[in-house]
Amino acid sequence: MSGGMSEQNIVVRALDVHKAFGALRVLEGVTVEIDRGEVLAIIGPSGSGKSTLLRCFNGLEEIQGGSVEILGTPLSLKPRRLAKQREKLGMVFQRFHLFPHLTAFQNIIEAPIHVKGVSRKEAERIAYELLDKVGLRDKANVYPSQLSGGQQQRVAIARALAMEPDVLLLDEPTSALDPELVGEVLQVIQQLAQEGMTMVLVTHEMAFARKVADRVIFMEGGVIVEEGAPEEMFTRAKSPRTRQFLQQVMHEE
Amino acid sequence: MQFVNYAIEYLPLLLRGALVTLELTALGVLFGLVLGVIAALGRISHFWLFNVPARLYTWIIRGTPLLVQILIIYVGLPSLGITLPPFPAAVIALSINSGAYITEIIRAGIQSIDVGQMEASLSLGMTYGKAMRRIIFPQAYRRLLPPLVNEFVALLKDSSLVSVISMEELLRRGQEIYTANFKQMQTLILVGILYLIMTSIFVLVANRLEKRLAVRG
Repeated sequence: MSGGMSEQNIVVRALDVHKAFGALRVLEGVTVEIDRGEVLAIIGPSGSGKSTLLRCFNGLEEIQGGSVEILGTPLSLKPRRLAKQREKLGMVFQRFHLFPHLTAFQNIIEAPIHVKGVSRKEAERIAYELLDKVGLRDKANVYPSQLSGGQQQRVAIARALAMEPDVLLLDEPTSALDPELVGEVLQVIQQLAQEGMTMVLVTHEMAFARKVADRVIFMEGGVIVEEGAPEEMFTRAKSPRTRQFLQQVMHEE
Repeated sequence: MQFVNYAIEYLPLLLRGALVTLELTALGVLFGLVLGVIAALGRISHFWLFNVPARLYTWIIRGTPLLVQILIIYVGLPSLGITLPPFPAAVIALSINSGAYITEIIRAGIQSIDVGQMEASLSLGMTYGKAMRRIIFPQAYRRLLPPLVNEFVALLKDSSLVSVISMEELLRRGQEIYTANFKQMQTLILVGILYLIMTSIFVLVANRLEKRLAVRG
């Protein structure tokens, strides 16, 4: 129960996080704080540990060293408490993971009603509002299998937002999409950024990260190599590794 | 024509046996499902205290003949001071046996659901149990239906084995008839036809159900 205003303004704090899958060490001491209202982009080559770091934030991955705090409280080891903490952390997956046996609308109202315990009426009001926001009100009663990838991801974002989380964690939200569907998802994310939603975005979309992020972290080999404002990072990175990586991916784009 | 007359003459007696067969199957399926759900949860648990007993159960039951299991319960247990009448003994044996197969069916069904479904549920703040109940099971049970129907049909046929403990089900009735009138062939064919009718009706109903479930999602 310590901390005043400044503590409350740090939504996620990871301190010296270590994570290994068996003998494979994926995170080797990562420290990062995410402030309320901030959009943080995490970039880096495949296998750099950026997605794993994101999954450590909401306890989908157990860490072997260091700590993760949500709103000043360490992630609990007790399943029920951890579940309660996860309500504050929205997660958007690369492959959407919508519930296929539920309609778009049912996907969105499921957790507010059955986890948070809000009334059905209130949950439905929120769901329609969110479907409007992601531009899919007309798809409310459609099952995920009948939606395009871009539409599925927009519903998945709405599903996460319906819990009114303090932060939205986006794990390569456009990597599984056909190129022509990337834009509609990025547009929704950009709108959320403008509204002041706190977000952590793991992405390969460099131009988008540059445009939307307040801060960029470059990861490689399980550590943070460099972090800074997007303009700085993309135009005059300090580390040669960052420069090399950016050169490679910008060239591809 | 002769066979039809014969069938009509003995049908009432055989149908009484068929009714017992249906009773045995229904109870075996019911208790087998309860056992199967419990043991399947044990099988997918990472906690050894749940996992190991469930593993032992399916390994032993699926690796030994049903006939031996029936005899152990009816003929073996009395030596330990537990004597059961044929009907409860038959139901227990069939339930334990089908439960082991149902366990593996349910386990496979649950594990066929993408792990992303569980991760998405947990990320929304669901507990493991709630995610299982509200997200994983509803998806799994549709996939479970076809293999479960197979298992139920197999159980209906296998229930004929309890004739050895003088349970008066369909096959036993047939045996009683041909021991008295020596018309083995006619009687056994009649018995076979009655089994065929029962399994066919079962499969037909299940197919209907499956189609209705497949409409959504």
